[in-house]
Amino acid sequence: MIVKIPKSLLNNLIKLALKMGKKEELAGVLLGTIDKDIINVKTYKTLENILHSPTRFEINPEEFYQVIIYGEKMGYEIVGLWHTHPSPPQPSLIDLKYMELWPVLWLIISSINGSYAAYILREGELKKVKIEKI
Amino acid sequence: MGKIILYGILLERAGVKEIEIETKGKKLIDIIKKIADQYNLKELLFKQGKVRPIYLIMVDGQDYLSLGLLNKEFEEEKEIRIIPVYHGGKRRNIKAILFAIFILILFIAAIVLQFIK
Repeated sequence: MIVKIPKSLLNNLIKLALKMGKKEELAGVLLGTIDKDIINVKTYKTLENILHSPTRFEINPEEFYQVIIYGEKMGYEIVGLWHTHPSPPQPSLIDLKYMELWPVLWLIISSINGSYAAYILREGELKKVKIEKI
Repeated sequence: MGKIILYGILLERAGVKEIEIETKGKKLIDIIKKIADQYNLKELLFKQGKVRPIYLIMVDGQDYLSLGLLNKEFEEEKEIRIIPVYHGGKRRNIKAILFAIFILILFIAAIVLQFIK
C-alpha cells in the first residue's frame, strides 16, 4: 500500500504540529480517494480536540460528522486520520484501541521535531505505510 | 426506502457502505439489531444487550445514541449513519515512569533508614 500526499499538505501539517508543540494534541482527518492499493490524500481538516489536552484527544463529534458530510459532497472519503504527539511518531496504546475502530491510515506527526510516520491496523496487525510526497 | 450508512470498522466488517432498509414505523434500536444480525456486526455494535457508546448514530444531524432516542419510532424513511468515534493520545513514556518509580523507592528507603537509625 502506498500513500500519496501533496508536499504542501504534509508541510502544513508539520508546521501546525510544531507551532502547537506540547500545548495540546492536534487531530483531524485526511480526505481523498482510494484506487486499489494507492491512497490519494487530497485535503485535510483540523478538528477540535474537546479535551484540549497535551497528551490525549477526543474529537468534537459534531465537527467530525460535518467533515464526513463535507467530504462526501466533494466526492471524497475519509482515507486517513492524523494527529500529533509530543513524542516520537509511534501509535500509543490508546491510538491502537481506536485504530481498531478506524482501520484507515493513521498519520502521526511529532510536535517536537516534525518527524512523521503512517500506520494502518488491519485484523490485529499493525503495518507501517510508505508515504510518497507528490 | 431508508438507508443505513456505515463507517470505519463497521464498513470493513459488513463489506458494504450503504444498506437500504425500511425505517418508517420502525424503532431505531430494532433497525440496528436487524443489520447487526444480517451483517455479523452484533459483537461490534452491542455489549450486554446495549449499543456500545463508541459510536455516533446520526439521524438528521443529531446523535440519537447520546440523546437517548434509540427507542424512537420513525414516522418516515430516514438516513442513519453509524460512525465510530475518533479518540487517541500519545505513547506513554515508560522510561520516565520507571525512573519516577526508582526515585520514589529511593525516597522511601531513605526515610526507612532514618527511622532504623
